[in-house]
Amino acid sequence: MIRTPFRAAVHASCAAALLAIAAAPAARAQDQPIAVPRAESRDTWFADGQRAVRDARKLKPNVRKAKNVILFVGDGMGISTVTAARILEAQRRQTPASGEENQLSFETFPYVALSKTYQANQQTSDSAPTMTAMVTGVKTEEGVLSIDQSVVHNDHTSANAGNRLKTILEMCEEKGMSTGVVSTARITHATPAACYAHTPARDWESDKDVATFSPAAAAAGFPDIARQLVEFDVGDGLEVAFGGGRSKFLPSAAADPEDDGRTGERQDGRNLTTEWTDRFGEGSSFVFDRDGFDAIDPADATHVLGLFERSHMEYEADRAGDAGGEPSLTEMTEKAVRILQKNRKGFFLHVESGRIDHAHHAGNAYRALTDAIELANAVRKAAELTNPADTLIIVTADHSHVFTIAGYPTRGNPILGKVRGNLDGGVVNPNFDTDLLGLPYTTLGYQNGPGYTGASNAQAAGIKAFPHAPSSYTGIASGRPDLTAVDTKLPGFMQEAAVPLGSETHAGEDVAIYATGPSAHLFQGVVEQNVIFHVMADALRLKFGAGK
Amino acid sequence: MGRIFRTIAAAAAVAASACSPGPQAGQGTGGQGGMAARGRPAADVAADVAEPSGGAPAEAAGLAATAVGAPSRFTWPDRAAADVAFKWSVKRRVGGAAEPRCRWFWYMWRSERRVETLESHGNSGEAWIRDSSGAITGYERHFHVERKTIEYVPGDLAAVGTSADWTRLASVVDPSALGRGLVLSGRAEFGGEPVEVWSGESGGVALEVGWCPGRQLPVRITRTKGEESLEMELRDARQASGAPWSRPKSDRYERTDFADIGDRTTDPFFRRLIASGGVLGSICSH
Repeated sequence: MIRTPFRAAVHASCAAALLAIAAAPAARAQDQPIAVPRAESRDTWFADGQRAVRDARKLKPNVRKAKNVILFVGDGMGISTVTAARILEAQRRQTPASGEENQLSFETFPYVALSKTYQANQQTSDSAPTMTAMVTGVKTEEGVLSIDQSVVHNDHTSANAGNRLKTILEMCEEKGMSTGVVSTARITHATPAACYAHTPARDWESDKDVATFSPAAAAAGFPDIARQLVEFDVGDGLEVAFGGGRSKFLPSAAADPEDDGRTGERQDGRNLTTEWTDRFGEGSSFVFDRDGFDAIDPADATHVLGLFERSHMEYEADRAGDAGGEPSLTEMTEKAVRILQKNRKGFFLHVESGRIDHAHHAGNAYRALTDAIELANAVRKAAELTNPADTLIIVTADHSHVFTIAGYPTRGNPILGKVRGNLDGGVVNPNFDTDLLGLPYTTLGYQNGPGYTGASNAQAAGIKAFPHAPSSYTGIASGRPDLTAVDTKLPGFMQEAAVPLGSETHAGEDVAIYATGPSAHLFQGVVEQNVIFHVMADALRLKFGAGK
Repeated sequence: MGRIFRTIAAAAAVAASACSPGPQAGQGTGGQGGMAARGRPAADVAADVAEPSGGAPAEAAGLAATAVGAPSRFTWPDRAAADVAFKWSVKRRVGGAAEPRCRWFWYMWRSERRVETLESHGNSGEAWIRDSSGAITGYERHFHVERKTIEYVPGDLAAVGTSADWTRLASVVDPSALGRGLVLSGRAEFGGEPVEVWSGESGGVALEVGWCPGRQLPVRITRTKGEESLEMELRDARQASGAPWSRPKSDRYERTDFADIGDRTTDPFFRRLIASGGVLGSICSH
């Protein structure tokens, strides 16, 4: 719908259509708690506890040198996201289970620690310094990619060889290993970019971006992130780069190969996709859709650039609707591992589930959790394809989000649903729990963001429908919305937020590190985020010169 | 209650507050859990504004012919024009005053693949884009003062699904919904084209739409509630290349993916957008 001077018409009506408010009886039926998948008793709980201790006793630290390292990052995947995703995964199965007892693939890893995500000048961080910490071993400042904290954000003159931080990916290339980055975000986005690029501003993804954010840097010819990927000159260059962000690599005069009527954005006239294949020659390829991806034979592929969207790839929840078709994170991970593991010296692979973060920013738990579940699928596939004796797999997050699991819902209550608790005597409440206004509320919610239920310039007062990007709000005038007959499990539902912001924010609490394989046992207790690099370096037996 | 009435009436309620200084947004546009203004059933509206039998002329329906009259020298562009630019005047009146309290222009450019809008006094516009198969592939919000564009990629649009209907976008209102909640109350002519006048009332809000079926466009929309009225009238329509007003060169703006807004906290514009305060959304400060 179009935004006329009679504004808000559009999005107000969108919200109603999207959320397809269901008749109350049907909604009630869908919101019933899901059964626990086994008979539980004091004996089963006790036996489970004993088994966990026995299993822990059997653990033997793997002190071997790692051949391969895979670093998975769920962008914005705080612990509440992991908990909710584990429940949702089970509740979505063909034979649904209550879910609380479920474990995502990486939750079965033997070693877990907590990661402190603050950075040199941030209490609550963004993805640039957090990923820099993970791949260089050094914390830095907000918005900076793999340069130390002496750099001035967005100032190219402050970036030099002296403050540049060598990344684990570069070190692996120097050792003759194969390397790759995979992301559902743009491959030039902060998290994957920190592996191969060095910039004083994460936003310098294309030459157009550099000119926009720092004309001085553009005039000085400071290389943008896409260029740094294609010109990466350590070792023999990255073997695999799968993700989104095609427009950052194509010139503005070139038609986009998938999206009719669209072009690239580069102003320098360079087509970095052809430069990739020109540089790497036989065995190299550039692919942009499902057919191209499927045609890649890992046995023959040497250097593969796959850019499946002009910007970020689709959310997993929407992927089936993509025009050109695009691979899932699991499929990209599998293809990457099969290409990289041809190298007898081993490989380093970074895999990011980039859109958990985006969905949270948008206040939409459905998509955030669906992407988190897909990350777990990708981890499972990577574990299947590698040997835990020689491959260190780490799963972590760069930072958390202000995403909460609230109330006292009964066991098996739909995690995307409304809170329904237990009455005295342990009987499930036939009605939803209510607040002091007498209204039901969802288990999942956000402390801030666009889900605030006051009227915005984009949508009317009441619950909001994704996507919602307001630029102004008025305060809540009529209390909370009545969710009784609203199906909060639908993809378009936006959880309520306490504080109205145009975009929900990151959160500053610790995130988890899950690890298996060589040196995984070194993850102990509460650690600084940059320790992740040092464990990977230990596993690979990397040696550091005086420059580090 | 027809959706056309609900949505336009709800939106107009917002627009009616737009003349006051500072941030204003859709208060009064819905109740708890509601996405649109409450109103009486369509049957009530029909009872309030009965359709004259046999399709009476506009005068018989109590509507002056000039109510949807075209400006002098108005001509429609050639029907075959591929890219057409439209200009509406928008006026807010209070207390039946002849002189509007607030007046501005609203522009739209309509072509086979793109629909773009701009408010003369405001900071923002928007554009919808579709591909050759008809699939909507993009949505953009433009902030002209800051020269920034927020781009929604297909993944974001997927969530709006059927709501993003091209016919509705290109026609400003949903033509199929005119008969739901509004009644055909008269006929008129606008620049030589027949115009249907649809009207109705709900919850104290009177709405009238002058609809040009031949051009699939409203030539006039009036919403009145109590002492306040907001009206939007088509003033000019040209082949885009010959229009005296030009489309903003938004392709040169800094573009930001909708998904990246949360990562742009170092940019003052996005800091404001995230924290809000209405700076970007306020319109018509006089």
